Amino acid sequence: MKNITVILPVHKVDDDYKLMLENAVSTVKDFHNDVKLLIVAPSKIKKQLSEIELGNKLEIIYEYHNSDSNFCNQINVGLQKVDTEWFSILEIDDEYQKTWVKLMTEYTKEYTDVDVFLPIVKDVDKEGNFTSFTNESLWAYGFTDKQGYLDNEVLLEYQNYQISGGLYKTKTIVDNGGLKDNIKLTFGYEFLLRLTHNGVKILGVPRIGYRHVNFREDSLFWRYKNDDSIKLSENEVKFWLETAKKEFFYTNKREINAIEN
Amino acid sequence: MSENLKNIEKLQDALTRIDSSENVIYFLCYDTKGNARAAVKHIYDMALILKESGQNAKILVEDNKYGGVDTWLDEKYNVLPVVSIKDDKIEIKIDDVLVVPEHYSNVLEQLSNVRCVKVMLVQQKEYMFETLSVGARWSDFGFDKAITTTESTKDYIMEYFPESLVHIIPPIIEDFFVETDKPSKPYIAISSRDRVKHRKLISEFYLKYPQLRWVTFRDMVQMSNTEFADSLKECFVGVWMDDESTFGTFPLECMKSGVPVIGKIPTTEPDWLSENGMWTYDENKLVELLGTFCLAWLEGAELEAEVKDKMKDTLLPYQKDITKNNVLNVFNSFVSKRKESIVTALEKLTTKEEETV
Repeated sequence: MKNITVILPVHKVDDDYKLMLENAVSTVKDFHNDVKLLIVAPSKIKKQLSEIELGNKLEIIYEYHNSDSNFCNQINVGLQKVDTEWFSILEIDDEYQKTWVKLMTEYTKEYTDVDVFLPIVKDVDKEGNFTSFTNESLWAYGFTDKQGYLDNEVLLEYQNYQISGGLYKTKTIVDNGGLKDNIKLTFGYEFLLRLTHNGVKILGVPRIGYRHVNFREDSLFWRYKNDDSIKLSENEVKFWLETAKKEFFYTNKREINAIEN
Repeated sequence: MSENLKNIEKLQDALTRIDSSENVIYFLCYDTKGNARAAVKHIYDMALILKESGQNAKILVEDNKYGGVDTWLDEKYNVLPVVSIKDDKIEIKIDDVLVVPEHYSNVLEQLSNVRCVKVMLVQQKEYMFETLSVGARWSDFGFDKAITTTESTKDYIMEYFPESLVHIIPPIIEDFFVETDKPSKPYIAISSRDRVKHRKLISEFYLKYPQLRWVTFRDMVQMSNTEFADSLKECFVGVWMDDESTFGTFPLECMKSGVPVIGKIPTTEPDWLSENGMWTYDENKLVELLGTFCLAWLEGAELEAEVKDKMKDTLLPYQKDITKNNVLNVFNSFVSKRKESIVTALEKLTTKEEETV
C-alpha cells in the first residue's frame, strides 16, 4: 500500500522545466510501490503539463489551482489533497537518492515517535559538483540537545536546514499548519521553528536522501539574490529571519506589514 | 617418620586433592586499575570456565591493593576467589597449576623453586622478552608449558623455546556482541593502543574531510564490557590501529556486531585476517580508506553479502563452547599428566619403602 505522497510543485513549463520535471519524476519512479506523486500546478499550464509523458508505472495525481503559483501555497494546496500517512516535498530541480524510501522506511519503523525525518541533503552546483551537506549538523556531537534531533533552541541560532526531501507525518503538519506563503525567503525556517516549538519531534536521517541544486538560475532563492524585481537586500534578509522568529508562535499566517507597523 | 614416608604422605595428599578437585589452578593477574583489558578478560574467562566445571580456579594477585574487575566485567566473575601473594601467604603445592602471563616474566626466577605445574600465558608476544633476563629460557625456571592465542604466536614461541609444549586457546568473542536491526548512527568506533596515533587519525580525518566534521568518533575505552558492546553496535564502522596486537579482539567484536572494520594490519598478522574487512599495511592510508568508506556509506552503500559472510565465517572458531572445551581439555591434560607423575613417583617411593622394611 502506498503510504507516502510526494508533493511536487510546478509553476511553469518550458524546455528547461520539462527536462527538470522529467528528471525529478524519474527519481520517484523507483518508489512506485510505496509512493504516489502529486503534481501541483496552476491551471494555466494544465494543457502543456498534460502533454509531458511521465510514464505509467508511477501513480501521478494532478492538482490544479487558480491562484498565483507560489511555492508555499502550492505545498499547502497539495497538503489538502494528501490521503497518505506521510508526505514529502520535491523541488523540480532536485532529486531523491535511490535509497530514500528504504531509508525512510527503516527510520519510521524504528523511531515511531518521530513526525518529521530530514535526510542529509547533498547540495550541488548547477554542474552537479558537490558543494556542501545540509541537515547533517543534527548529528554533530553536542550540537543539539539530543544528538540527531532538531530543537527550537538550536534552530533560533542556526537557520540552515532544508525541508525539501524530508518525510512528514501528514496529520501532524495539518494540525500545526503548512507553509506561510507571506513569509519570503525564510518560510522553511519559520515552519521548522513552529514545529519544534510545538513539540513535534524532528530527526535527522544521517544518510544522503536528497540532492539539491544550489542557486539554480531562475530558482526562487536565486531570484531573491539576483532578480531585480524581487531581489532582497541584506536588511531585508535580516528582516525575514527576524519575522520567522516572531511568527512561529502562530499556527496560521498573519499580516506581516501590520506587525511591523 | 622417615623422610621417605613423609614424601609418600605428601604425594598421597596431592593425589587426594586432585581426585577431589581441591588442587588449585592459579591465574596470576595484573591490576588494570578499572580499565577494560581483553587480555585480563581472557584470564578471567579461562578461570571461570574451570570454576564452573568444578575445578578450584583462583585469581592470584600481587597484594590486597588489587582493584578487581567489577567496574567493567559482568558480576558472574565474582564467583572467582582472588588471593594475594603478599597478604594471603598462599602455599602453592605440587598438584596445583600456576598460569603466569608474559607480563610477569620478571618473577619467573622467584617461582623457580615452586614445584607445581607451571604454565606461561602469552597474549602479547611483543612483551615476551620485555622483562625476561637476556638469554634466559622459560624452562630454566620450570615453565615447560605455554598457552597462547594464535597459531602464529605458537610458531614464534616454538622458534625460541622449542622445548615448550604450546597450546592455543583463543579468547571468547562474547554473545552479547550482536548485530542490531536498528539503523546505524554516524559514529566511528576507534580502538588504538597508542593515544598519539588515535588523536592523529581523528585530526587528519577532520582536516582531509571537513564536510564530515559532524561524524563522531567514539573512543572505545573506559566502558564496561556490555556498555562497550551496546556502544559498538550503534557505529557504522570500526577503526583499529594496534601494531602490538597479537590476537586482535576488537575487529572480531566489530564483526560479531555486524560493524565493518577498517584496520592497520599489526606487526603480527592475526590468524583470522582475510577479506573480512578493509585492511592496510600502510598506516597513512587509513584516513583515506575511512573517508572513502564514510562517503560511500552516506550515499547508501552497504557491505557486500560476500564480506558479511566472511565476517561470520571468521567468528566460527571463537565461539564460547569451542573455547570452553578447549580450556577444559588443556587444563585437564595438565592435571592428568601431573597426576601420572605423582603416581609414578609414589610407586617408586613405595617400592623403596617396602625394600627398606
